[in-house]
Amino acid sequence: MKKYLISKTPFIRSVDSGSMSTTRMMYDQLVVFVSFIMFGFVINGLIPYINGEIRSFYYLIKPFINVFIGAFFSLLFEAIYILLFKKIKGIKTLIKEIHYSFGFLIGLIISLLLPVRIPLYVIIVGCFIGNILFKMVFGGLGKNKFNPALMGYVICYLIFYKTINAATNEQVLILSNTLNITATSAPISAMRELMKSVGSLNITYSSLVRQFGSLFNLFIGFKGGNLGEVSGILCVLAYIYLVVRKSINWRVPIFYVGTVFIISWAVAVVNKIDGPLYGVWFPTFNIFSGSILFGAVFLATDFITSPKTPNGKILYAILLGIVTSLIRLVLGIDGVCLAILVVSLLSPVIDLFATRIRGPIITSKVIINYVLISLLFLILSAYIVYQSTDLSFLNEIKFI
Amino acid sequence: MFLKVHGVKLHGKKRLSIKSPIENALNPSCVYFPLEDGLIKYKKILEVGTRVLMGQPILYREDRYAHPVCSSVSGTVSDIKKMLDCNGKIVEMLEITNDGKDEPYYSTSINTELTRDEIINKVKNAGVVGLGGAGFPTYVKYLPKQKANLIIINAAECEPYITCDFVSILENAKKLIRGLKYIMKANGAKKGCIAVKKAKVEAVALLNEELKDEPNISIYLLKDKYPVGWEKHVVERVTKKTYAQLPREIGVVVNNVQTAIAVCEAVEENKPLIEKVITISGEGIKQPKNLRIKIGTKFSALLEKCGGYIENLDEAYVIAGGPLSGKSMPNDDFVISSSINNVVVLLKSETVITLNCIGCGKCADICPVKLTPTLIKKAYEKNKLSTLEALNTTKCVRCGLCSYICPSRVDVSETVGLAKDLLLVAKEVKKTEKK
Repeated sequence: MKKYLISKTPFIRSVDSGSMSTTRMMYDQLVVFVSFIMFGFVINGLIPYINGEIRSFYYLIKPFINVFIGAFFSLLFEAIYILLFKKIKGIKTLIKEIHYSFGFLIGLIISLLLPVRIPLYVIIVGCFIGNILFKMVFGGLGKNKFNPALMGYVICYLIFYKTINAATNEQVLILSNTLNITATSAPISAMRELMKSVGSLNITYSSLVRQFGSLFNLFIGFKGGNLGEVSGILCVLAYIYLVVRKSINWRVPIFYVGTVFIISWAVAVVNKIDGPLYGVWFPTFNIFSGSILFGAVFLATDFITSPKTPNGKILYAILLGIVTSLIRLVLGIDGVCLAILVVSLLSPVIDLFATRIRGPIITSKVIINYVLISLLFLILSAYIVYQSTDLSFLNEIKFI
Repeated sequence: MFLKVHGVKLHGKKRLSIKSPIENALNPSCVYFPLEDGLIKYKKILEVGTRVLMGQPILYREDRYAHPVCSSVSGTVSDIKKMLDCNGKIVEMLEITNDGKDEPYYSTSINTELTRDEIINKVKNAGVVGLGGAGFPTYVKYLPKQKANLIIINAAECEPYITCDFVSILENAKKLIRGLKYIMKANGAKKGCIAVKKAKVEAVALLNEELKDEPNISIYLLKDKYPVGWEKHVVERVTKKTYAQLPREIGVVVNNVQTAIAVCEAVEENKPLIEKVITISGEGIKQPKNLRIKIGTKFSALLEKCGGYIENLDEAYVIAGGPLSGKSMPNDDFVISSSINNVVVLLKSETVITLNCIGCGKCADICPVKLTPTLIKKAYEKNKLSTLEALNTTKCVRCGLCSYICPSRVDVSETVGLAKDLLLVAKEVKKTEKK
């Protein structure tokens, strides 16, 4: 024998037998997203086109254009960053570097989180924020502190608030006309408006759900909203597929959705909401509206920003459920993205707590985390104020 | 009590060598005995140039775990040489040139009516150490005056490729049971138990047959998972109790199959620990085999017996120990000591490139002692001792599963092992400072 290889133990790895690798886990998500995109195309493009609600071919294939732009610009931004800041020799290593950074997933998630009729520049800005500012600057795959896709989406939402809302409403209208339902806004906005007009105690099945047809409609995905928050049943199937392939952790989605369900059911029972089984329709509506299922399966399970310990994952999911329900039921906005951002900052602390340690917790780390959290809460509150107050008086101020 | 089995089912690959009976390879030209093994130092009894008989003590361990090391061949002490040991370190070794006569130093005297102290003395003088891998002197386990309840023979053999214990059971079942009885007597225990993997049907059937008339000895079937043969795991499974450091705390003594056979030979025949059965296996070996060898043989001397490496083999791992916990060797001239059960030659198999840790937590899921390897790795890289302590790093059993499962092919277990060593050293330093 010519060469004796030296390596670190162990000498057999599960990745080498091809059973499971990071690459496969990432491509599993891509496979699932493809089914989501197809569904989004049918609901938001094909059916309205056949019914005559959409005339132009551009809007027929808009779902595909959105995801393509998202994925393409993500890869492009990462390639530019790598070329500028890393010393790369040859095209082969560059391609390898880009491939194993899995940047396209960020662009895909951002485009799936935004409504279909969004102007394309919003997606591009989102990709820039997500891929460059919140991923590559931190050091690339596995080094980021925040979920880059979520950061991209949330900051986009804050910047292009009006554009995104207008696009959502436009889309809901088209869908309502196609399906002959009376809804004029996405489910969560409808709930917010009802809470504003009649008070959260007086919400009934007929006033909230009837405008969308039925709960079944919501479950299948006949509802307005963003491209990805389409179908409850697709999310459930995606969950099963990814868990069977061991590409996501099974604990987080179950405990997250379960907590939201239980809390909103408790709210329904306390407020004496009418309906069979103490108003079980209300928690069901809560789960199938907004992006809870999408968030639970794809965003909350993000490995990098969620806790690493099994117990910590459960704790994290429950905390996530509580924060989401709070944002949702008190403020009336789809709190999934914000809740995940806020709670994922806590995950190092959750991890240390969950390892059942007796030793010291590092105080500096805790303080930094709490500072970050309070900053986020500041942003959150500013966002809520911005959203719920009339800012038109700003235009009347004259600068002399 | 519900105890969850942490671990994974690995592809055993035991078929390579499981059908081959034990072959003798008892005639090496030279054998080597290390003068130091890690922190353990041995004292020379015989000087270079003297004649030595088979089984004659040549080295003596002098600390509180004192025991002799016996020559495994007869011949002359010819040299002190620097040789590669099976930890991959180069240490000074005593070379004994074999004259091929195998003249015994000991005389066989069959005496079955022995007292507890006599058995312990015989085991001590025979230099029997744990043959499962730790190399801990066996008699020390029997020393506590307090009687033990249960003796467990650990026959799990959970690492892939290893079959030597299985083959030893098939060939020496009677000796094993007699050895177990001596151990029971030495510890004042009334019950014995042999823990075997469920999958080893033949061994279980044979043991059942042999144990027909032994109401005190039972068989416990272990699941086919790794690391099921880890001492603490076996004890927890069999007794449903747990302990902090040593099984003796709850009145249990655990011994390996080959150790029990060695105890039997030491007690009945006064035969010191000079031979053991090892498995030489792996895809890179022409004919994987179980061999009975003299302790101290070089691996390269055994290669011929197995037909050598396969043809056209350019590069491979030669691993002393199992593929999950063993060490890769820089050449094949290393000396097989009593703590090695097998040598595996593996082909290069890296098909996936190493990526960054994405924090999936699979290592935390799989860890048999419920550590969080990825956090330990991070803390180690930032050199934070307090965090490492908070994460219970010293509990690590070095099973290697965290690296095995890692989808990014990160060397987690290596880092966790280093972190553990760092903590242990830091503790020692603290202790000495206090004094």
